[in-house]
Amino acid sequence: MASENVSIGDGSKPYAGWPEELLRPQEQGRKRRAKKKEGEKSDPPALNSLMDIVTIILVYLIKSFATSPIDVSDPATDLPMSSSREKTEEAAVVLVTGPIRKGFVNGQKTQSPNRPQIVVDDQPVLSLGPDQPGGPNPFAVKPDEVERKFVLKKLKKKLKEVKEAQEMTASITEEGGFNGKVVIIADKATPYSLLTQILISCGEAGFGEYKFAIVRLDS
Amino acid sequence: MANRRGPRGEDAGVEEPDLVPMMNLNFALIACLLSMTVNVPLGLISVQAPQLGGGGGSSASKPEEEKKPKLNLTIFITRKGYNLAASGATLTGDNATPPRPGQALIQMKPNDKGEMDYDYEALNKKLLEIKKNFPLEDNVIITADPDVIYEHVVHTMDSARESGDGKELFPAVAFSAGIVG
Repeated sequence: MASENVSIGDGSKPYAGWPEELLRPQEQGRKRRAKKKEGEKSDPPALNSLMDIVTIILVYLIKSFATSPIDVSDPATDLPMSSSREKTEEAAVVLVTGPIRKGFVNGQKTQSPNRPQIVVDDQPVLSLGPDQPGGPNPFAVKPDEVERKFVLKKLKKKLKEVKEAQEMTASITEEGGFNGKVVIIADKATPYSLLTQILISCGEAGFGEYKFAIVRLDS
Repeated sequence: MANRRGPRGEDAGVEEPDLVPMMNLNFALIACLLSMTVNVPLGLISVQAPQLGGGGGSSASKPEEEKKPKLNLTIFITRKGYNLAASGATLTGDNATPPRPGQALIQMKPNDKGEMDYDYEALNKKLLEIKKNFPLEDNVIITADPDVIYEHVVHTMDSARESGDGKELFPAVAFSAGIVG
Protein backbone atom coordinates (compact mmCIF):
# COMPACT_ATOMS: atom_id res chain seq x y z
CA MET A 1 0.00 0.00 0.00
CA ALA A 2 2.71 2.39 1.01
CA SER A 3 4.59 1.85 -2.24
CA GLU A 4 1.38 2.58 -4.28
CA ASN A 5 0.84 5.84 -2.45
CA VAL A 6 4.42 6.91 -3.11
CA SER A 7 4.00 6.40 -6.85
CA ILE A 8 1.10 8.90 -7.32
CA GLY A 9 3.45 11.82 -7.94
CA ASP A 10 3.95 10.72 -11.56
CA GLY A 11 0.32 11.68 -12.50
CA SER A 12 -0.65 8.18 -13.65
CA LYS A 13 -3.31 7.82 -10.90
CA PRO A 14 -5.42 10.22 -8.82
CA TYR A 15 -4.07 10.91 -5.34
CA ALA A 16 -5.82 8.61 -2.92
CA GLY A 17 -3.80 9.41 0.13
CA TRP A 18 -6.10 11.94 1.91
CA PRO A 19 -7.85 10.56 4.99
CA GLU A 20 -11.63 10.14 4.81
CA GLU A 21 -12.40 12.75 7.47
CA LEU A 22 -10.85 15.42 5.25
CA LEU A 23 -12.75 14.24 2.20
CA ARG A 24 -16.19 14.18 3.85
CA PRO A 25 -16.72 17.91 4.39
CA GLN A 26 -16.07 18.55 0.71
CA GLU A 27 -18.83 16.19 -0.26
CA GLN A 28 -21.15 17.76 2.29
CA GLY A 29 -20.32 21.23 0.95
CA ARG A 30 -21.12 20.13 -2.57
CA LYS A 31 -24.49 18.84 -1.40
CA ARG A 32 -25.18 22.11 0.46
CA ARG A 33 -24.33 24.21 -2.62
CA ALA A 34 -26.56 22.02 -4.77
CA LYS A 35 -29.40 22.47 -2.28
CA LYS A 36 -28.84 26.26 -2.28
CA LYS A 37 -28.98 26.41 -6.07
CA GLU A 38 -32.28 24.58 -6.07
CA GLY A 39 -33.60 27.07 -3.49
CA GLU A 40 -32.53 30.13 -5.54
CA LYS A 41 -34.45 28.88 -8.51
CA SER A 42 -37.68 28.76 -6.55
CA ASP A 43 -37.38 32.12 -4.61
CA PRO A 44 -37.38 35.34 -6.70
CA PRO A 45 -35.02 38.11 -5.43
CA ALA A 46 -36.64 40.64 -3.10
CA LEU A 47 -36.97 43.86 -5.10
CA ASN A 48 -39.09 45.80 -2.62
CA SER A 49 -36.24 47.82 -1.06
CA LEU A 50 -34.71 48.59 -4.44
CA MET A 51 -38.13 49.60 -5.70
CA ASP A 52 -38.47 52.03 -2.77
CA ILE A 53 -35.10 53.63 -3.50
CA VAL A 54 -35.84 54.01 -7.20
CA THR A 55 -39.26 55.52 -6.49
CA ILE A 56 -37.77 58.05 -4.06
CA ILE A 57 -35.15 59.08 -6.64
CA LEU A 58 -37.87 59.41 -9.26
CA VAL A 59 -40.07 61.60 -7.06
CA TYR A 60 -37.07 63.80 -6.13
CA LEU A 61 -36.14 64.27 -9.79
CA ILE A 62 -39.71 65.09 -10.82
CA LYS A 63 -40.01 67.61 -7.98
CA SER A 64 -36.71 69.35 -8.73
CA PHE A 65 -37.59 69.40 -12.43
CA ALA A 66 -40.97 70.99 -11.73
CA THR A 67 -39.70 73.63 -9.30
CA SER A 68 -36.97 75.04 -11.56
CA PRO A 69 -38.63 78.16 -12.99
CA ILE A 70 -35.83 79.03 -15.42
CA ASP A 71 -34.52 76.67 -18.03
CA VAL A 72 -31.64 77.63 -20.29
CA SER A 73 -31.50 74.80 -22.79
CA ASP A 74 -30.68 76.93 -25.85
CA PRO A 75 -27.17 75.95 -27.02
CA ALA A 76 -26.66 79.47 -28.40
CA THR A 77 -26.92 81.11 -24.96
CA ASP A 78 -23.80 81.27 -22.81
CA LEU A 79 -24.52 82.88 -19.44
CA PRO A 80 -21.93 84.86 -17.46
CA MET A 81 -20.83 83.68 -14.02
CA SER A 82 -21.53 85.72 -10.93
CA SER A 83 -21.09 85.62 -7.16
CA SER A 84 -24.75 86.64 -6.64
CA ARG A 85 -26.61 84.34 -4.25
CA GLU A 86 -30.14 85.31 -5.26
CA LYS A 87 -32.23 82.27 -6.22
CA THR A 88 -34.36 81.85 -9.31
CA GLU A 89 -38.06 82.59 -9.17
CA GLU A 90 -41.15 82.54 -11.35
CA ALA A 91 -41.32 85.46 -13.82
CA ALA A 92 -41.76 86.33 -17.47
CA VAL A 93 -38.60 85.41 -19.36
CA VAL A 94 -36.82 87.45 -22.03
CA LEU A 95 -34.05 85.42 -23.68
CA VAL A 96 -31.28 86.93 -25.81
CA THR A 97 -29.40 84.25 -27.75
CA GLY A 98 -25.75 84.68 -28.71
CA PRO A 99 -23.85 84.72 -32.01
CA ILE A 100 -22.30 81.26 -31.54
CA ARG A 101 -24.21 77.99 -31.32
CA LYS A 102 -22.36 75.27 -29.44
CA GLY A 103 -23.01 71.58 -29.92
CA PHE A 104 -21.62 68.06 -30.08
CA VAL A 105 -21.13 66.10 -33.30
CA ASN A 106 -19.65 62.59 -33.01
CA GLY A 107 -18.38 63.38 -29.53
CA GLN A 108 -16.54 66.51 -30.73
CA LYS A 109 -17.39 70.05 -29.58
CA THR A 110 -18.56 72.17 -32.47
CA GLN A 111 -19.29 75.89 -32.88
CA SER A 112 -21.38 77.38 -35.64
CA PRO A 113 -22.53 80.97 -36.30
CA ASN A 114 -25.99 81.82 -35.04
CA ARG A 115 -28.23 84.79 -35.68
CA PRO A 116 -29.07 86.23 -32.25
CA GLN A 117 -32.70 86.80 -31.45
CA ILE A 118 -34.92 87.97 -28.63
CA VAL A 119 -37.32 85.30 -27.37
CA VAL A 120 -40.16 85.89 -24.90
CA ASP A 121 -41.57 82.85 -23.11
CA ASP A 122 -40.17 80.50 -25.80
CA GLN A 123 -41.61 82.53 -28.69
CA PRO A 124 -39.16 84.36 -31.02
CA VAL A 125 -39.95 88.06 -31.13
CA LEU A 126 -37.10 89.86 -32.86
CA SER A 127 -34.12 88.75 -34.95
CA LEU A 128 -30.97 90.79 -34.45
CA GLY A 129 -27.95 91.61 -36.58
CA PRO A 130 -27.50 91.23 -40.34
CA ASP A 131 -29.69 88.81 -42.29
CA GLN A 132 -26.79 86.36 -42.62
CA PRO A 133 -25.17 85.12 -39.38
CA GLY A 134 -21.51 85.96 -38.80
CA GLY A 135 -21.83 89.66 -39.70
CA PRO A 136 -19.84 92.48 -38.08
CA ASN A 137 -22.39 93.50 -35.41
CA PRO A 138 -24.44 90.41 -34.56
CA PHE A 139 -26.63 92.26 -32.03
CA ALA A 140 -27.54 95.27 -34.20
CA VAL A 141 -31.21 96.27 -34.16
CA LYS A 142 -32.74 97.62 -37.36
CA PRO A 143 -33.69 101.30 -36.96
CA ASP A 144 -37.35 100.69 -37.93
CA GLU A 145 -37.67 98.26 -34.99
CA VAL A 146 -36.88 101.00 -32.45
CA GLU A 147 -38.97 103.92 -31.26
CA ARG A 148 -37.65 106.84 -29.19
CA LYS A 149 -34.11 105.43 -29.52
CA PHE A 150 -34.53 102.90 -26.71
CA VAL A 151 -37.87 101.05 -27.05
CA LEU A 152 -37.95 97.83 -29.07
CA LYS A 153 -41.45 97.90 -30.55
CA LYS A 154 -41.99 94.16 -31.03
CA LEU A 155 -40.63 93.32 -27.59
CA LYS A 156 -42.85 95.92 -25.93
CA LYS A 157 -45.92 94.59 -27.80
CA LYS A 158 -45.18 90.98 -26.86
CA LEU A 159 -44.54 91.83 -23.21
CA LYS A 160 -47.85 93.70 -23.06
CA GLU A 161 -49.55 90.51 -24.31
CA VAL A 162 -47.74 88.50 -21.62
CA LYS A 163 -48.83 90.99 -18.98
CA GLU A 164 -52.46 90.80 -20.17
CA ALA A 165 -52.31 86.99 -20.17
CA GLN A 166 -50.93 86.96 -16.61
CA GLU A 167 -53.66 89.36 -15.45
CA MET A 168 -56.33 87.28 -17.19
CA THR A 169 -55.05 84.06 -15.58
CA ALA A 170 -54.96 85.72 -12.18
CA SER A 171 -58.56 86.93 -12.56
CA ILE A 172 -59.78 83.43 -13.49
CA THR A 173 -57.84 81.50 -10.88
CA GLU A 174 -58.21 84.22 -8.21
CA GLU A 175 -54.66 83.50 -7.13
CA GLY A 176 -51.60 85.74 -7.21
CA GLY A 177 -51.75 88.28 -10.01
CA PHE A 178 -49.45 90.23 -12.26
CA ASN A 179 -46.24 90.70 -10.25
CA GLY A 180 -44.32 92.79 -12.80
CA LYS A 181 -41.26 90.55 -12.59
CA VAL A 182 -39.16 89.84 -15.65
CA VAL A 183 -36.01 87.73 -15.89
CA ILE A 184 -33.55 88.58 -18.65
CA ILE A 185 -31.46 85.62 -19.77
CA ALA A 186 -28.81 87.13 -22.00
CA ASP A 187 -25.75 85.71 -23.70
CA LYS A 188 -22.56 87.03 -22.09
CA ALA A 189 -21.57 88.79 -25.33
CA THR A 190 -24.73 90.94 -25.39
CA PRO A 191 -23.77 94.63 -25.63
CA TYR A 192 -24.83 97.11 -22.94
CA SER A 193 -26.79 99.18 -25.46
CA LEU A 194 -29.11 96.24 -26.20
CA LEU A 195 -29.50 95.48 -22.49
CA THR A 196 -30.69 99.02 -21.76
CA GLN A 197 -33.08 98.86 -24.72
CA ILE A 198 -34.54 95.61 -23.38
CA LEU A 199 -34.87 96.99 -19.84
CA ILE A 200 -36.58 100.17 -21.07
CA SER A 201 -38.93 98.15 -23.31
CA CYS A 202 -39.85 95.99 -20.30
CA GLY A 203 -40.57 99.15 -18.30
CA GLU A 204 -42.71 100.57 -21.10
CA ALA A 205 -44.73 97.34 -21.19
CA GLY A 206 -45.53 97.64 -17.49
CA PHE A 207 -42.90 95.41 -15.91
CA GLY A 208 -41.15 97.00 -12.95
CA GLU A 209 -38.92 94.35 -11.36
CA TYR A 210 -35.90 93.27 -13.38
CA LYS A 211 -33.54 90.39 -12.80
CA PHE A 212 -30.61 89.07 -14.80
CA ALA A 213 -30.01 85.33 -14.94
CA ILE A 214 -26.46 84.20 -14.21
CA VAL A 215 -24.58 81.01 -13.42
CA ARG A 216 -23.82 80.93 -9.70
CA LEU A 217 -20.15 80.66 -8.79
CA ASP A 218 -20.64 79.47 -5.23
CA SER A 219 -22.14 76.05 -6.01
CA MET B 1 -60.31 32.35 -3.71
CA ALA B 2 -57.59 34.92 -3.41
CA ASN B 3 -55.25 32.50 -1.67
CA ARG B 4 -53.49 29.80 -3.54
CA ARG B 5 -52.85 26.45 -2.01
CA GLY B 6 -49.57 24.68 -2.47
CA PRO B 7 -49.17 21.17 -3.83
CA ARG B 8 -49.28 19.71 -0.31
CA GLY B 9 -52.40 21.67 0.56
CA GLU B 10 -50.74 24.35 2.79
CA ASP B 11 -51.74 28.02 2.54
CA ALA B 12 -49.13 29.80 0.37
CA GLY B 13 -50.51 33.35 1.03
CA VAL B 14 -50.96 36.15 -1.57
CA GLU B 15 -48.47 35.88 -4.39
CA GLU B 16 -46.09 38.85 -4.61
CA PRO B 17 -46.57 41.01 -7.72
CA ASP B 18 -43.80 40.92 -10.32
CA LEU B 19 -41.97 44.23 -9.80
CA VAL B 20 -39.44 43.84 -12.60
CA PRO B 21 -41.48 45.66 -15.32
CA MET B 22 -42.22 48.49 -12.88
CA MET B 23 -38.50 48.73 -12.06
CA ASN B 24 -37.69 48.91 -15.77
CA LEU B 25 -40.21 51.70 -16.24
CA ASN B 26 -38.81 53.64 -13.26
CA PHE B 27 -35.24 53.33 -14.49
CA ALA B 28 -36.31 54.54 -17.93
CA LEU B 29 -38.08 57.56 -16.37
CA ILE B 30 -35.03 58.40 -14.25
CA ALA B 31 -32.80 58.25 -17.33
CA CYS B 32 -35.19 60.57 -19.22
CA LEU B 33 -35.37 63.09 -16.36
CA LEU B 34 -31.60 63.12 -15.90
CA SER B 35 -31.07 63.75 -19.59
CA MET B 36 -33.55 66.65 -19.51
CA THR B 37 -32.19 68.24 -16.34
CA VAL B 38 -29.62 70.96 -16.82
CA ASN B 39 -27.02 70.77 -14.09
CA VAL B 40 -26.10 74.45 -14.28
CA PRO B 41 -26.81 76.26 -10.99
CA LEU B 42 -28.69 79.38 -12.04
CA GLY B 43 -29.11 82.54 -10.00
CA LEU B 44 -30.40 86.06 -10.42
CA ILE B 45 -29.17 89.62 -10.02
CA SER B 46 -31.77 92.27 -9.29
CA VAL B 47 -31.34 95.62 -11.01
CA GLN B 48 -33.31 98.81 -11.37
CA ALA B 49 -33.94 99.89 -14.90
CA PRO B 50 -33.44 103.24 -16.54
CA GLN B 51 -36.67 105.14 -17.26
CA LEU B 52 -37.35 107.28 -20.28
CA GLY B 53 -37.85 110.91 -19.19
CA GLY B 54 -37.82 110.03 -15.49
CA GLY B 55 -34.10 109.77 -14.83
CA GLY B 56 -32.41 106.62 -13.58
CA GLY B 57 -32.48 105.55 -9.98
CA SER B 58 -34.79 104.04 -7.46
CA SER B 59 -38.50 104.70 -7.73
CA ALA B 60 -39.28 103.17 -4.35
CA SER B 61 -37.34 105.72 -2.28
CA LYS B 62 -39.26 107.38 0.53
CA PRO B 63 -39.91 111.15 0.67
CA GLU B 64 -37.81 111.55 3.85
CA GLU B 65 -34.88 109.90 2.15
CA GLU B 66 -35.22 112.21 -0.84
CA LYS B 67 -34.51 115.20 1.39
CA LYS B 68 -31.14 113.79 2.37
CA PRO B 69 -28.21 114.57 0.08
CA LYS B 70 -27.55 111.58 -2.16
CA LEU B 71 -24.14 110.23 -3.03
CA ASN B 72 -25.24 109.30 -6.58
CA LEU B 73 -22.26 107.02 -6.95
CA THR B 74 -21.86 106.16 -10.62
CA ILE B 75 -19.50 103.67 -12.25
CA PHE B 76 -18.68 104.41 -15.87
CA ILE B 77 -17.50 101.34 -17.78
CA THR B 78 -15.53 102.71 -20.71
CA ARG B 79 -13.43 100.98 -23.35
CA LYS B 80 -10.30 102.04 -21.42
CA GLY B 81 -11.40 101.10 -17.90
CA TYR B 82 -13.49 102.52 -15.07
CA ASN B 83 -14.30 106.11 -14.13
CA LEU B 84 -16.24 106.99 -11.00
CA ALA B 85 -18.57 109.87 -10.23
CA ALA B 86 -20.33 110.99 -7.07
CA SER B 87 -22.54 114.03 -6.38
CA GLY B 88 -21.45 115.97 -9.42
CA ALA B 89 -17.73 115.23 -9.25
CA THR B 90 -16.21 112.80 -11.71
CA LEU B 91 -12.99 110.96 -11.04
CA THR B 92 -11.03 110.09 -14.17
CA GLY B 93 -7.39 109.57 -15.03
CA ASP B 94 -6.89 113.34 -14.57
CA ASN B 95 -7.48 112.82 -10.83
CA ALA B 96 -5.11 109.89 -10.53
CA THR B 97 -1.66 110.17 -8.97
CA PRO B 98 0.29 110.80 -11.13
CA PRO B 99 -2.35 112.35 -13.47
CA ARG B 100 -3.11 110.48 -16.70
CA PRO B 101 -5.03 112.90 -18.92
CA GLY B 102 -7.51 111.20 -21.23
CA GLN B 103 -7.14 107.87 -19.43
CA ALA B 104 -9.53 106.00 -17.16
CA LEU B 105 -9.28 106.25 -13.37
CA ILE B 106 -8.92 102.46 -13.09
CA GLN B 107 -7.22 101.23 -16.21
CA MET B 108 -7.55 97.81 -17.81
CA LYS B 109 -4.86 95.24 -17.15
CA PRO B 110 -3.88 91.88 -18.66
CA ASN B 111 -5.71 88.91 -17.16
CA ASP B 112 -4.49 85.32 -16.65
CA LYS B 113 -4.91 84.60 -20.37
CA GLY B 114 -2.85 87.67 -21.31
CA GLU B 115 -5.92 89.53 -22.64
CA MET B 116 -6.76 93.06 -21.54
CA ASP B 117 -9.54 92.96 -18.95
CA TYR B 118 -11.12 95.29 -16.43
CA ASP B 119 -9.37 95.59 -13.07
CA TYR B 120 -12.18 94.34 -10.83
CA GLU B 121 -9.96 94.16 -7.72
CA ALA B 122 -8.89 97.80 -8.01
CA LEU B 123 -12.53 98.85 -8.48
CA ASN B 124 -13.51 96.81 -5.43
CA LYS B 125 -10.82 98.50 -3.30
CA LYS B 126 -11.87 101.96 -4.50
CA LEU B 127 -15.52 101.24 -3.69
CA LEU B 128 -14.53 99.93 -0.25
CA GLU B 129 -12.83 103.28 0.47
CA ILE B 130 -15.99 105.12 -0.60
CA LYS B 131 -18.18 102.81 1.50
CA LYS B 132 -16.12 103.63 4.61
CA ASN B 133 -17.01 107.31 4.16
CA PHE B 134 -20.67 106.62 3.29
CA PRO B 135 -21.61 103.51 5.30
CA LEU B 136 -25.38 103.98 4.87
CA GLU B 137 -25.28 104.29 1.10
CA ASP B 138 -26.37 101.17 -0.84
CA ASN B 139 -27.10 102.48 -4.31
CA VAL B 140 -24.82 102.57 -7.29
CA ILE B 141 -25.58 103.54 -10.87
CA ILE B 142 -23.83 101.71 -13.67
CA THR B 143 -23.46 103.15 -17.12
CA ALA B 144 -21.31 101.89 -19.95
CA ASP B 145 -20.16 102.34 -23.48
CA PRO B 146 -22.66 100.81 -25.90
CA ASP B 147 -20.34 97.98 -26.93
CA VAL B 148 -19.31 96.90 -23.41
CA ILE B 149 -20.44 93.31 -23.12
CA TYR B 150 -22.85 91.90 -20.55
CA GLU B 151 -20.21 89.66 -18.94
CA HIS B 152 -18.10 92.69 -17.95
CA VAL B 153 -21.20 94.46 -16.62
CA VAL B 154 -22.03 91.42 -14.43
CA HIS B 155 -18.47 91.23 -13.05
CA THR B 156 -18.58 94.96 -12.33
CA MET B 157 -21.83 94.47 -10.41
CA ASP B 158 -20.15 91.63 -8.46
CA SER B 159 -17.26 93.95 -7.54
CA ALA B 160 -19.71 96.64 -6.45
CA ARG B 161 -21.87 94.25 -4.38
CA GLU B 162 -19.36 93.13 -1.75
CA SER B 163 -15.70 93.37 -0.86
CA GLY B 164 -13.22 90.51 -1.02
CA ASP B 165 -13.80 89.68 2.67
CA GLY B 166 -17.58 89.55 2.24
CA LYS B 167 -18.52 93.05 3.46
CA GLU B 168 -21.54 94.54 1.74
CA LEU B 169 -20.73 97.55 -0.44
CA PHE B 170 -23.37 98.79 -2.87
CA PRO B 171 -25.84 95.97 -3.60
CA ALA B 172 -28.64 98.10 -5.12
CA VAL B 173 -27.66 98.52 -8.76
CA ALA B 174 -29.45 100.82 -11.17
CA PHE B 175 -28.69 100.96 -14.87
CA SER B 176 -28.46 104.27 -16.62
CA ALA B 177 -29.58 104.71 -20.20
CA GLY B 178 -27.06 107.48 -20.71
CA ILE B 179 -24.29 106.19 -22.93
CA VAL B 180 -20.72 107.18 -22.26
CA GLY B 181 -19.07 108.55 -25.36
